[in-house]
Amino acid sequence: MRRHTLFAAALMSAALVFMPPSGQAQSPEDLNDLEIAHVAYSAGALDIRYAHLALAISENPKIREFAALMLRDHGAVNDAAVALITRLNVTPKDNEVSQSLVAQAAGIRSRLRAAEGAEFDRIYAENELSYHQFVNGALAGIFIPNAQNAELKALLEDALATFKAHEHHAEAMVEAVSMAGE
Amino acid sequence: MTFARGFAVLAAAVSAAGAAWLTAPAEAGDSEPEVHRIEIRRFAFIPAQLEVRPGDIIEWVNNDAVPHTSTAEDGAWDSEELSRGASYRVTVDWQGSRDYICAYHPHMTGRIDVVGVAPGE
Repeated sequence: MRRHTLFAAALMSAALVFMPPSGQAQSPEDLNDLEIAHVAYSAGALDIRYAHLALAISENPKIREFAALMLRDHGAVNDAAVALITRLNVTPKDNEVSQSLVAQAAGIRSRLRAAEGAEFDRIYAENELSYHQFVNGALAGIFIPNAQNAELKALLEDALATFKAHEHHAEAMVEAVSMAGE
Repeated sequence: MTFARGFAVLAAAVSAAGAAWLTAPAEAGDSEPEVHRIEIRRFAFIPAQLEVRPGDIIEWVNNDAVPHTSTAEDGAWDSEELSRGASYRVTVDWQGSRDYICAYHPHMTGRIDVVGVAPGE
């Protein structure tokens, strides 16, 4: 039952992500390399912001451990992205998909800030799982196949390996948090 | 070619040969400890299982963008944080098997099996 709820939440996230405020859907397949790089970097930066919130609010050791991991890993992946764009002397291009991600994240951070204790832990854990599921789906199904630059493609493949590990870790975190709440 | 010039050419050739001999890597043999490299790549230790002899050296190299560690389950060694490109070495001074993990990503596991005797014994 909980899995169905999470899956529905992930699907809803996916639908929202590609629906800019104007209501006109932007096709992620149309993004070029610079726009893909912008989305990937934004996704990492947003998860870092969730992690900072978790470390500020949660007292659950599992939540705090996961948040510290997000800070470390997403920071490293984004550092690698910055190194690549610096070497290629290019600038990632903002786009509707990135903007939609940012707008959606603001709403989630509001929910997180309004919660505390076990409720915060549950919202954070479930969001981390659905967020990584969605990002991984987009990376594997759209962004990696569509990336033209070989170095960007390799960076995204490395990122996918990292985020898949996070997804598995988030699954365990959701389970632990839900068991603690029963 | 004068004698002096011929001698100089010969001396240079002999010197080069000597230098090459001195810098040539030692051939791996039963009496030499071996260096085993384990690559950390895409959240895996490669190879995940390794057989070594006492006295051998194990070197972990992190080729992932994110930091990892090589940390023995029993506390025998801990590389602490290995950023991309960083490496860590351990000399095998134990018998039997030891399991290790990445402390940051504990689903990453590896195993070192020590077999045989130390070189020269």
